[in-house]
Amino acid sequence: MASSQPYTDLLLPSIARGDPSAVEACIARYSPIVWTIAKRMVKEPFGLEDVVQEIFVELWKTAHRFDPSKASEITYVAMIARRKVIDRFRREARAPVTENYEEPETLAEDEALEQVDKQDEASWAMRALNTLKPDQRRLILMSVVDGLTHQEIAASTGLPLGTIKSHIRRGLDRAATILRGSKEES
Amino acid sequence: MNSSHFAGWDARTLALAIDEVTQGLPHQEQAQLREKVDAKDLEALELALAEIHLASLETIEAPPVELLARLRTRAGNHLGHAIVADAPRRAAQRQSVKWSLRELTGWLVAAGLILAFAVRQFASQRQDSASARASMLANEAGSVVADWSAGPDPLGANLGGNVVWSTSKQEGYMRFRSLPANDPKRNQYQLWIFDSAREDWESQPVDGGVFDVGPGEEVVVAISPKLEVRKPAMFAITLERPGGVVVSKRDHLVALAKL
Repeated sequence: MASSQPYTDLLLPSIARGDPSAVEACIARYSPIVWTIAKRMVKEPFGLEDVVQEIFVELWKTAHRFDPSKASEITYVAMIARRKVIDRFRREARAPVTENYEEPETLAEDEALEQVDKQDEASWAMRALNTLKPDQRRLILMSVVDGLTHQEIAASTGLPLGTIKSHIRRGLDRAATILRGSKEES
Repeated sequence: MNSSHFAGWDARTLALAIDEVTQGLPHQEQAQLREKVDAKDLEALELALAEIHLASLETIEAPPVELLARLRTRAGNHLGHAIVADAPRRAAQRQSVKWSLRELTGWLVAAGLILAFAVRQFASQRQDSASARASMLANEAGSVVADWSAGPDPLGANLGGNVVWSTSKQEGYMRFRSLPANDPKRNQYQLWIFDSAREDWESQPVDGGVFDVGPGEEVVVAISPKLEVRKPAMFAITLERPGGVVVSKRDHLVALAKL
């Protein structure tokens, strides 16, 4: 598990001020995470390095938007990395099928959810995932970490597309709700 | 606690939002989503997914060394001035050692973006640069002049000439006499400007670009720094590989001009 424990020294505000040494430090500190995220999602070696470069350029351009009260710096970096990979998917017209909009079911109160302690972000994220059913968690990880489309997940698992979409939407809504709650409590 | 933080979103909006942050919507649907959802709320969802993503990574892989080099070059292109490799270590060094200009002459650390001038462009601009330099000397009361002195590299042994710089115009010209011609396929000269108005200016000079020198006794080269130079303290010329370098090995410090 990659720790998302915040570094004590923030680089993005320094980058926003135009400090070139912070840019270099940003490459040194975050290139492994960015590379790992991009490589896992993109899969094909062709163009992978271009994506990583686009991610860093975007980081430098948007460094001023980083708000440490909303997320740790590494989480912001991961968000930008995911966003640029997804932009690439969009450019490649790897469009999702967006029919079958089901009304999400109301989830029962879950004791595990109440037991989530306020920890660092990685811990919160893992605990949020652990409140989900194993199948739901597996589908979410296929989507979020492996970058698979819902159609690809359907082909891989044999589950109906609508079921996959429903599981992923409900699961992510639930996990995101827990994570957002952790921010508001902290 | 179990009510959705996205409860204000209808089912279609939530579906679109999750498709957007996991797969990327086609542009038309992306536009529809942005009309319905505040960008901050969508970013909150993205941050949540990023946290999940980080927490789920079991291994972290180092990127290829060649990619890191390209990233540093892109950084220079983006910032338009020098970056220093291995910044944390350099920062630690800076805390313990304050370099003087004299020390810099023997230990020039420099990095930066390269603005490559094609040789024929340089040749066609040379006459204009000479005229502009003369005009600056005649008309710019605030311009400053500094003579070149030879650096440790033998290339600068017979060097003469000077630098004319106008801070108000952010423009300057270098005149060289007896600076050996370079072969652009093998190496290029690179200018660095030490701006004492900047933090860490001694270790992070502003890049002045690369340039070529052809055969001839005297050449004039225009200076076009990527960043504003407010208080130049020294100009330095190094010889680097074609296109310049991100981090100078300071093997070929050719010339210095101190103000």
